[in-house]
Amino acid sequence: MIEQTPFHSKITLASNPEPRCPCVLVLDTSGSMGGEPIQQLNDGVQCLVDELCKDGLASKRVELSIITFGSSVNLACDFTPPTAMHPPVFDAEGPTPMGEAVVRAHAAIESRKEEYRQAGIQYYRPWIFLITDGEPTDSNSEHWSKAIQMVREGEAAKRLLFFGVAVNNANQKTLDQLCPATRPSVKLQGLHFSEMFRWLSSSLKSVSNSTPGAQLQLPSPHGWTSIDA
Amino acid sequence: MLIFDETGRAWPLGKEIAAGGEGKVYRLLDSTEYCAKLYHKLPIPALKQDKLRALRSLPASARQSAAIPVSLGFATSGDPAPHSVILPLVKGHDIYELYNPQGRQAHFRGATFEFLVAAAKNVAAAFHSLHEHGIIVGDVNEQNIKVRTDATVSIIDCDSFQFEHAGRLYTSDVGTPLWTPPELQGLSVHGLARTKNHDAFGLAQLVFLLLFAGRYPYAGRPLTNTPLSPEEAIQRHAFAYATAGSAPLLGPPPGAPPFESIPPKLRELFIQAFAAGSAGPVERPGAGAWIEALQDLADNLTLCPGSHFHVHWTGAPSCPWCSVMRAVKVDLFPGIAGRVEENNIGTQENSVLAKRLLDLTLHPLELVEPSTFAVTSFIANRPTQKSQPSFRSAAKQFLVSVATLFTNRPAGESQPSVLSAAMQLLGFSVTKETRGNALTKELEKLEERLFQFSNRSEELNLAHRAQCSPLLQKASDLAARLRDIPAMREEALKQLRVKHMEAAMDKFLERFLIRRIKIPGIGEARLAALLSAGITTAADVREEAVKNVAWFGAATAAKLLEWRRQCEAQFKFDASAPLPDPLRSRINELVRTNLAALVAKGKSIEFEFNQLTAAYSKDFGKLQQEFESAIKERAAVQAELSKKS
Repeated sequence: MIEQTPFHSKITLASNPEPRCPCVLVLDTSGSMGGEPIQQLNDGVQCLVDELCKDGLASKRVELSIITFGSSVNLACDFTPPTAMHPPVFDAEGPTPMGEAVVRAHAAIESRKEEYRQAGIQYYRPWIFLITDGEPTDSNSEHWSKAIQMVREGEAAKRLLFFGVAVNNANQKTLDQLCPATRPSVKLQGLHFSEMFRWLSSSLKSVSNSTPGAQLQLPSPHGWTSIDA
Repeated sequence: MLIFDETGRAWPLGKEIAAGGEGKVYRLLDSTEYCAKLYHKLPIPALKQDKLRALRSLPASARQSAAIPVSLGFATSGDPAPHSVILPLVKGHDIYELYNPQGRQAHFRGATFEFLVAAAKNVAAAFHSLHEHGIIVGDVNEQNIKVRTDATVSIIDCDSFQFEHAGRLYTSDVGTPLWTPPELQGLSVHGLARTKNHDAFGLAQLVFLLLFAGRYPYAGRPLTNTPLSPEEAIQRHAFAYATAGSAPLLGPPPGAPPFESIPPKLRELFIQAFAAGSAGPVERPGAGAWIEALQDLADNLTLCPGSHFHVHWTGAPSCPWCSVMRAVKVDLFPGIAGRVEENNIGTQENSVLAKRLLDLTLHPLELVEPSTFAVTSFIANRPTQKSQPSFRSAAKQFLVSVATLFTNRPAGESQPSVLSAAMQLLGFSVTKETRGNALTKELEKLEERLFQFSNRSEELNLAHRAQCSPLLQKASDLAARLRDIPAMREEALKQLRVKHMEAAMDKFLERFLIRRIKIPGIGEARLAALLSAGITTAADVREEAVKNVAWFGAATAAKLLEWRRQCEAQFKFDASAPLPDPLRSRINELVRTNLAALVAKGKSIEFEFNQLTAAYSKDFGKLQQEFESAIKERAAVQAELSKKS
């Protein structure tokens, strides 16, 4: 396969010099997500895009990318401003190559950061937002250990913010191997994807608006996280 | 919901217009001049209450530049503790929508550099008047300044101003990292006494953003390997346009207007504001210095001969906007020309590419008999072959049957199978006549080898087809999507038009105030119940909302809904009127991005197909050569045999 180069990225960087906050949604589209969960996930992502579009500043600063993992690890959407985003519809099938997906997300962020640097665009700490309802099927591969190492180093150097969200019967213990110790995975209450993505939207908005000297204050995830988590 | 001002007057709340960390801002239904900010955290802390009270005492002349509260607001009349403030409603857009090229296209379409210079000067004037009164803005940021359509500005969020009243200093307590001067980066701003020089940093950054079309002073191409966060860049005075200074960290970014496109005086002020040493003892330029330098720029503007929208300084080496266009292919001041072309976005390019994609086809190759020697002669030398079809016709038969594999049509009944055709082609049957000598054995081996060629060419063709057919499927899907672009745009427009109409209807219905009309069966008590349930205008009258109001039976609800229908009937929507610019530009951007992605994908499919085809032809060429030499060898053996017999 010949790698595709996103055609529009240079143009949007030149016509919009605002600092960027890149966010990769790493979404589990394995077979077990089939039915209601994948439907809710689709709606939730659309909800995130709509919320970001409503905010003039966030729509200029946040860039979303979507990587799905199921029968393969797939770049479903390269970094795109919310106003130009048409989220693809996901189908659920296949195993759960979570490690590979995280490695891929990391690579996507590194290459986008290089594009920002070349264009002289500033950027905020990138986000990886991972949602799964299972456990990695590649936890014995080198992808998994590489993913853990990447997240750990990125978090320690404050070069990355990693969030893990567990859906239904996800194995949170395994997921927490990946999550930073200070920010363990959270369990989604029921299938409240829309509430969760609305939270993500307001969190992304708050990134550039925090008061100096104060800790980065994210809105409370109460309302979509499960209490028994 | 109602809120009460200090005189006890009640104001019904309208729509929410903004939400921030501290509270939400709502319109007041009976007023076009005022709005109300309701605080999240109640009761408002005592210190904050004092500050809000003190704000009202600021001099009237400071009010021209800032939306300073006119009254405290209370949840009930006579409540001792306020829960809100009533303040002037500022029309206009956040300043970032003006300096950012995308925002400008959406909200200030047609605004040129002249407009940006005027707005910059007005920003400086607003700071000047506040500073004159000893007021420090404190939390200068891109969301606290509104620009009106005449380029005048107003500063909002005044409860974060720093000022002195009755011998007491009220500090700002908030800040925004991207707008915090180097000397305050990383410090807590809570209780911090700020100075005019701190404000001067934010002011200089605003002027810079306006004059450099949304570029930040500290964003540039990195000259070292250490990545700088936006805050670190400020802290280290990494001004990307500084010419002097040792070991610069950043260089000007590609696609930014050159620093030389503004007068030397302004360049000097920017260096003074952003380069090292700006924290003191020499202070950053104050508002007065900016006003003077910007006025001078405004008096010395000219028009680029290439565009009616490229306004620039007369002393610039060349038009800065043209040089940006050359560098990054983006026109930062396209003016209103965008309207004409928007209906045709990409129609040329996509139909050409779509056609090319549909034209991609497989061209399966065939093994061709060598032409360098006469085939007829070796057939003529074999009298036993008379009953066999000629090599040429056998070859044709073989190729037809191979071709049917590719066209995917079922082979006709009369057509022989590939295998039998190949056997005939290679004269397989003749080898049955054994003569018992070495030559015949060799000939048999050769025939066997030649027979294999049909399999090998078939394999090559099948593999090629297997590789290419998913690509061809993708190509035709993509061509269809490319041709659908105008339809997609239409569909998106249609959907937006519906949304737009619903919004217009809501706005229209908001003008019908329930308090102002007389509906039979709705007395004072029911009216109060309606108002307290947040139903104040016809727009709020919805079935599910009305049902839930206390004391409302189905009959009363029906009357109210009937009233809404009457209001709705008066609504006229001009369906032919153009959509507002922000909606149009969102659609256009959507179409452009989609198109760009499809075109990129299409081109990569085309490229991949050509690569595969080239590799296939090369492989087939090799097979053809082997085939030819095998045939030559056989001819030689046959010649030898015929000599002996």
